[in-house]
Amino acid sequence: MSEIEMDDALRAHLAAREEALGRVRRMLVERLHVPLPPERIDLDAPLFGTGLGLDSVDAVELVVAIEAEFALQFSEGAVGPTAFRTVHSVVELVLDPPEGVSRVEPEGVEA
Amino acid sequence: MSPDYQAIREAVAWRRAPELALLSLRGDDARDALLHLCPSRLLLRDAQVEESLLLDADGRPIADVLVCADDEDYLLIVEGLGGDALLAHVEASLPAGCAPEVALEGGRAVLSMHGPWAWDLVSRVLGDDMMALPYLSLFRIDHGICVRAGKTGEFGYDVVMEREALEALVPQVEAAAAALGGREVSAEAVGRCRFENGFFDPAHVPAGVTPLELQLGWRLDWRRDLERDFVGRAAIDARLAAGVTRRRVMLTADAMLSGAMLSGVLHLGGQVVGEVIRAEDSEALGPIASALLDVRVAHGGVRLDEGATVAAPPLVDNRSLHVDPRRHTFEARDEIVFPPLVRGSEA
Repeated sequence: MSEIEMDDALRAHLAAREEALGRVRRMLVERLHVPLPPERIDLDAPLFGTGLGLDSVDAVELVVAIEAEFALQFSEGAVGPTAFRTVHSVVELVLDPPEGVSRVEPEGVEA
Repeated sequence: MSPDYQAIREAVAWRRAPELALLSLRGDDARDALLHLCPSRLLLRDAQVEESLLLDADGRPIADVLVCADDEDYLLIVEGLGGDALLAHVEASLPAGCAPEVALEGGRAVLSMHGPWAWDLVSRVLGDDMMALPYLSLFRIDHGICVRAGKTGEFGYDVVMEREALEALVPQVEAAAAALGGREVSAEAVGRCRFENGFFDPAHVPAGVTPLELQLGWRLDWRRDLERDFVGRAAIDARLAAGVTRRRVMLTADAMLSGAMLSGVLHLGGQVVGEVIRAEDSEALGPIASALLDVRVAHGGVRLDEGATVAAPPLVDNRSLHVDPRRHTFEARDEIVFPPLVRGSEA
């Protein structure tokens, strides 16, 4: 494949997306036990019911896992179910959290 | 909002679904045949349902399939390949020595229901047992089965019954749907809603793609240690070895564009990065499209020269996510606070 020329802003955008996607994939395999190789988890794969087959019990674990992996804290009702529809929507959530989701400073780091 | 669209997204919708073919696999070889025809894991207990595919020898998806486990038999609800073509594909694909009883179930037909209140519709028509029917499972009813699946992102049911019995049910469905603010809708309306959710549609599969490009890897069995072959597996393995270079994505576009203007080749900074698969004017979103993009740029938020931006499906916030059959009633629906149908827009 020939190289695609792009400016720094787009390059940074794509790098952030790839990095977040990789972390979400690993999280799904390691913490939610999705039975697929991480690299085979599609960006737009549905998470619940069909797709990756998560269930209502996994939904709680998914929230906990996202909070831990991405140092986020969800206030009650801040995020609707649409944010957890697909791998892609989770990537969007962690990169651009909505109002009511706060970033948590890692322990030991002074503000 | 057109009446059909409104029925699917806000109330209930129903239609006969003659495009769906029904194929049964029975006998001692039924499971072996299924595992050869469909590429998914298919770890099904009785009354469970799984979404799968039919692939051709090149690994290209040629049909969308719901596999229904009925005791030790299987009923396949197939879209994209019908009648004689389906039967010919099955007969040509089965390995030597694998001889299930294969039959097209022409005596049965499908009536599909969609919408945030479809669970209420199906319960009114077929009984309260339907209300608790889990997603991707089936319930046995007189003259057939009721399958909970769906293709619009809303609650969805396929009622599979003997044709005469199904036609006898239609007046009840029509009356119950009307009481729930719904109606009979067109296949096109269901198809557009399905597209807004980014779901697979076998009518829109470009040449040369496999499930890998279509982001349907979750419908493949990745347990490679199993000595299992299925139609199209060699082509998929070859594609993996060569590298997957394109990915199907959904695009939203500037309001001044129309879906028809999103056609052909797509560019980024003047460079060719993909091609449109399908473009539509969505009632909720304006112009939307699906496209095959170079995987290096196939990420949310990437804006293409044509004025379209890669977006995470589903593109709408389905009402059904906010309706709970255990807590809500249609009569008190105004008490539910729904978010906007489209993220970032006003209700």
